[in-house]
Amino acid sequence: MISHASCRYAMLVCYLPPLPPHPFAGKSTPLSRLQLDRRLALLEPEDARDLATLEEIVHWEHIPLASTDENLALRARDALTRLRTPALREMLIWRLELRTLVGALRRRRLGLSAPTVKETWGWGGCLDSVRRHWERSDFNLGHRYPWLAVAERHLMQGEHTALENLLFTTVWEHYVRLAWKHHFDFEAVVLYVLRWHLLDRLTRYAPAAASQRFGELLAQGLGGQDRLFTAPSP
Amino acid sequence: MNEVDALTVGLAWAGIFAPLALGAFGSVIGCAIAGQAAIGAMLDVETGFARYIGVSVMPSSQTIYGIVATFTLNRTVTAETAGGLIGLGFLAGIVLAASAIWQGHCCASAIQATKVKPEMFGLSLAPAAVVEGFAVFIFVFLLVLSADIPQL
Repeated sequence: MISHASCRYAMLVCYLPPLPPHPFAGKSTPLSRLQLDRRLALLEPEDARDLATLEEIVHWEHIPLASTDENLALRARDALTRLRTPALREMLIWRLELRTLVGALRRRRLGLSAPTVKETWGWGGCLDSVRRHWERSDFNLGHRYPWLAVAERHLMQGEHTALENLLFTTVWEHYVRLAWKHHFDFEAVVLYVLRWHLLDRLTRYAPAAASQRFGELLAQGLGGQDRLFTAPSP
Repeated sequence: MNEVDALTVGLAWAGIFAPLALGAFGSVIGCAIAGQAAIGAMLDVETGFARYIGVSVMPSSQTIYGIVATFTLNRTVTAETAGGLIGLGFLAGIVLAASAIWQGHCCASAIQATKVKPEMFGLSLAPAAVVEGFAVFIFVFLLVLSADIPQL
């Protein structure tokens, strides 16, 4: 009846500005990382540690590019032992499973064979089904992950932006669904931070600037050799 | 007075005080939850502070009902009155406490909703008002039924 834990962070949750209802609805994050960190200073030290543990695994900027699958699996296992609540562990496992499935789709598109039992390449309860149903478009997991068939179609047709948007929306909606069960507790704060990260990544995308940068890199890489491919003058 | 009588008398006195004690217990928790939400909201916005504070003290009404209920139940404790005092007092107290705590949750949600959409301030208070309504039912029926407990 007292439910102290469920309202532990009523102040912090109300201190955080609202996020947009959809990841593509916002042009920028409602607050900067600096402002967010200042507000997250209200977390208890052990909760702050849990959040940091989760962020280390979930956010790409914390993962070195040279990390191997084994390395990532070891880090995930270590993080799962350090997280104190089942709700946080479930959040992490769900995200790892999503990455595992997307990784499997990409692997299959490259024409590689199904991973072997001994191979460490992913995480979660989906590994066995992926291995056994490698030839099926949704690895026989369509009932659990309805987005999988759509993701596979985007990948096969080379629609990478659509795939990225689908994954963003899927993760965002999953977090929104979870947030309905958590109003003023620590999980509510964690879900806010996870959605903030998604929004931060999405709003930092600048297609025009990226295209210009790509052109510059291409010109730099080719040097003067791009003239080799120009049509000879008559 | 034998042991059973002593226990009954003790419980009857506790029953008299239960609406106030349990109502205040619930109000403490409810106001604390809603108050923390109000402070958080006030840190993030520039206007509407009075609204947030006003909403955050809504769960205090259960203590007021408890005071009136305890005064109403207060009478000489005898074998005839003990049963009624225990039953009415404890049940009313439990419901008052529960309604205060959950009203605190409703008020915190209303504060958060109002912060996002100020225009829905009135509507966001509806759940808290409904919870208050159940506390009022309990209070009114306690007043009605307590009239049947002999006043010696």
